Amino acid sequence: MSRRREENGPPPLVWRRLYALLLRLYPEPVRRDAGPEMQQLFADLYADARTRGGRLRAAAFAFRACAEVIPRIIEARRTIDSRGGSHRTIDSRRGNDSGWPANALSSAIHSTDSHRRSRMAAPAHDASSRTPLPRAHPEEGRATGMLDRLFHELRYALRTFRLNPGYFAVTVLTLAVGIGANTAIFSVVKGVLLDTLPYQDPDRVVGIWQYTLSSGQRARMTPGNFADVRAMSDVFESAAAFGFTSATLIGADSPELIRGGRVSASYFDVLGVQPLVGRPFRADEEDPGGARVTIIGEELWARRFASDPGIVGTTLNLDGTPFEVVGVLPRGIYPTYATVNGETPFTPDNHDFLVPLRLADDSSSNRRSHVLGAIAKLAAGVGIERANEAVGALAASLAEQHPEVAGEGFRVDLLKDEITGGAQAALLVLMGTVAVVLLIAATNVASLMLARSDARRSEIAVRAALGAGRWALIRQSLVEALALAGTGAAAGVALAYFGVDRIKALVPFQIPRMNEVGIDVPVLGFTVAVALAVGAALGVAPPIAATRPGMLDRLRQGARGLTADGKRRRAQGFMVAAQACMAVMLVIGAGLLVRTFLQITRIDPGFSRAGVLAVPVSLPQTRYAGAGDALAFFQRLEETLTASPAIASVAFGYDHPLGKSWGDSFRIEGRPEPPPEASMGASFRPVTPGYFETAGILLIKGRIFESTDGAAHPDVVVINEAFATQYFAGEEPIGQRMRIPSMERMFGDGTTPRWFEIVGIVGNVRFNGPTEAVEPAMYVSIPQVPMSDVVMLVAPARPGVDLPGAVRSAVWRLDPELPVDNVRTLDVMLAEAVARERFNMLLVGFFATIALGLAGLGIYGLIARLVHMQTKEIGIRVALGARRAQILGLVLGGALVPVVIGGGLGIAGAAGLSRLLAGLLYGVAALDPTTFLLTPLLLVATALLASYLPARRATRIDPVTALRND
Amino acid sequence: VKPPKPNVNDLLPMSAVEFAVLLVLADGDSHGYAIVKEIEARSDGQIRLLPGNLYAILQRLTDSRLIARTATAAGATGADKRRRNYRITPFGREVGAAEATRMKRMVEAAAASDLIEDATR
Repeated sequence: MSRRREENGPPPLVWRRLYALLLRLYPEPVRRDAGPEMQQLFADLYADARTRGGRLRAAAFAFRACAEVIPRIIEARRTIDSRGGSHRTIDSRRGNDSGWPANALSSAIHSTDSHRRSRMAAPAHDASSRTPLPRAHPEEGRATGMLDRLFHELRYALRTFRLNPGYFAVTVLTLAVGIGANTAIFSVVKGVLLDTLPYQDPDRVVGIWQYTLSSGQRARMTPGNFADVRAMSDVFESAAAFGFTSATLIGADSPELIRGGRVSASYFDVLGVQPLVGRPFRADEEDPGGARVTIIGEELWARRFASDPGIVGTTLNLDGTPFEVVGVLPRGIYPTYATVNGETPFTPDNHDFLVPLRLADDSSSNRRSHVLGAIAKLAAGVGIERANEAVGALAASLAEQHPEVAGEGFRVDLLKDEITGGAQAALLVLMGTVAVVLLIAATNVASLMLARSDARRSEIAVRAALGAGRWALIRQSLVEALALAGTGAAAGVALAYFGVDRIKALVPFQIPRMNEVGIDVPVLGFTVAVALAVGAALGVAPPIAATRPGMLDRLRQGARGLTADGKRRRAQGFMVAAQACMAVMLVIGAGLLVRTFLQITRIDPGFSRAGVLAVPVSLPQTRYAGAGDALAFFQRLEETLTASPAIASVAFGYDHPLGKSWGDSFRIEGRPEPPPEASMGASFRPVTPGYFETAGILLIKGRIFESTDGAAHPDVVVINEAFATQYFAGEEPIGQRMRIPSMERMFGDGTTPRWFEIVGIVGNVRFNGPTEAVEPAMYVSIPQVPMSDVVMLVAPARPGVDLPGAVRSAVWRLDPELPVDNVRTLDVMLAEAVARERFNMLLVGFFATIALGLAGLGIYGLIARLVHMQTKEIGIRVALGARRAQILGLVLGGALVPVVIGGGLGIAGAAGLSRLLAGLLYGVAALDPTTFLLTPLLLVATALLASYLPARRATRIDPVTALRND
Repeated sequence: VKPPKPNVNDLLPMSAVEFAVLLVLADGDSHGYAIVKEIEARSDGQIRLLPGNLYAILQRLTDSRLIARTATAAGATGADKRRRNYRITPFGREVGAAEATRMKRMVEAAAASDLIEDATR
């Protein structure tokens, strides 16, 4: 349903606005008469092209339709123009009553000249008739006159482009690349960094976190501490807690695991957002016995319920329990959950639904479970410093009252600052990169325009001789440059339109709010501004130089001085040096990022992952109440799957090897209890016996779990090497015993000690991604520590099997209501873990390559011109017996000198700027010698390649032809 | 001041596309989108008019009184109101017939010169 609507819907806003803008350029009467009709036809034909050929074809149509209307506007304005002037001077075969164009072929359709002339003359001559004057206000008339003169200049420019299609194509393409790159990256910067969060008062919405004073490690809030913070009404106008939740949505379609958040009722007050339809949660719905209600996310609403507003009041079956839908949450409302490390992901996941957060009655005394994210709205007039002082005081008093939690602090941050986080540096580097690309592109175009103004010197001379003043010449040049920049910008927007989708595909989740990025009106405004700036710079500078007072007279006299050539050469050499300098800086930056990425991919993640699939399995408490039920189900599932010849092994763990699982504290037998601020912690990872083998984690010493490590046997634990190093330096860990207090609380009475014996040591796994530090970990046996919310790992017997399909059918054979989605291989997850570095490398590398290519083009242009200007000189030298090598040296020397100078400056500049990149590098020094030595070679190679053709031409100059040719 | 009715022969020959539009309207009233689709179908997809061109043609035909805009249906709103209908005028039929006759004569002349086989013979 929604898909069809999308296919046949109106054209994207960008095209509609562009077309409407173009239609506005028609003369007023035409616009009023036919504007809506043409706009409608444009929409109809767009929808038609879209249904038949998809988005690409529709975009091609829209582009053609926009391009087609421009000459018609010019024609229409010309007819109006000639009508506005003396009617005797008009070309009678062109004018008509409506101001519409009539081309030569079809002009025969018009009535006789005499009758047409009388019709056209009517409004101007027949003063007695009631026909209103076409121009009521003199101001309007002046504006139109100005506009018409501009149209005249534009027509002139377009005509010169038609005569030089090659020049036109090269300049427009060059500018399109530069402007398109800036548009695309700016749209990302705007969506991620500049757009404010959709809150009522983003400057007052804060996140509140706890952190360990000794390590600075951030953590979520405990329910007890949250209750205290919520009570600080003089600092926080309102506060809300939130946390992750998931449920199985059972309905007409296949069961789906949906993810969302549990939020306080005050969540909506803090953020100042209202549901799209329906109402927010009420305070009484937070009570443990309150009504079961849910607010679903806009995306789920559209996907499963066709955006039906009637959803409010209906019930959803979540995990087998009916929940009344009371509202729909708009897209782009964050946060809905917080990670264990105290991060709020600004990504589109976990936006399926919200339920009221219900805290147990005794929650206000729980100061150990770090499970809640907390947000608050600062009270009016309270700044962020004041809020931090207040929570600091709270931490100090808590440390006195509850010594067991001493060593914990609070921190208040504006939520809008959280969002930019790690993405800011990379995006600013990218913005700088594309700005440099644009500079290089513009330099190329300037160089081309300079070359062309030489070629057009006689034309300019004629115009100057006919009395065109300096301003007229500048204006013409400006209009021409603006037309070039405008066309380049239009093509650039088309490039960016497709480029943004490619960029978004590169990093779906690692950059906050990336899903909201798109080319919208402010981005187009930016593009227009860039195009205007480029056009103005290109259009004004060269003619100002070319028409300096003295020059104009010389032009009028038709002078062709040698000094002009010398100056041109110097100017062009300067431009090539500048391009070489900028290109070298970008290429060095890209080189550093490539080396970073290579370093990271070389890091051993600690597990072997060829094709291993991770499948989240979440058994609803309602149907798998006892620990035995879940275990039995896992066992049956494992048996069913391993029976298939396609599957080598199956195992379960609370989290997959690239998941954070959770951190927990422990105590080692025979050691004194450490003070709270120095308590020992490690990543806690319940797994089944086959986990290590399935994931390919190496056993270093001792043994891994066996099928006998069940509930009836002594508790055992397997640690990793980092654990052994950190907590058993110089001791033998195997055979030692430890207590894990949270296990005693979860599965026992909280006081009876439960001892886990260390039986083995396994290799380190980089749970948080390749660039993150190795952390100590303890693995426990799932039969001894039962879990119903796990990830299943499935290793294929051979490559190329349809594992997801096999897994789905096996799961649904056992339990048709169990969702199987978000299934990914460990390879994919590992790739995602380095996606940010890949993004940096690919994008900066891509733009640096473009920069290098453009610089190569500039070098080619310079040498080609040098050869052209020196033809006579070379001819004389050849006639005097110069050898080819000498000629080659003469030509290449002229080009390579600016390249080498520019390149050297570029290396120095890169050395200065590479510090800005330091935050994006890993395992590579900002002044990495390899990169700094190798990239200049790349530039020299490019320069040699670019000079090859013109230099070869120079060596083949025939002295007779060269000298005769004057 | 109403200009005199133009002479049929002053309007000949018509351009191929204008004639095509006139032929579509000779089969019944139609609006811009339908005209574009019809011409596309009749030309096996060879001729796809773009909005600017189509309205320039419709305007010229209207100016020359070959076609006229019909009144918009009273209840029309939104897209339907913006899609205006055109109708061929009796004068338009006259000019269309004259153009067809002119073309027929040319076809006959071509056949007489053995450029093509004369289908009518």
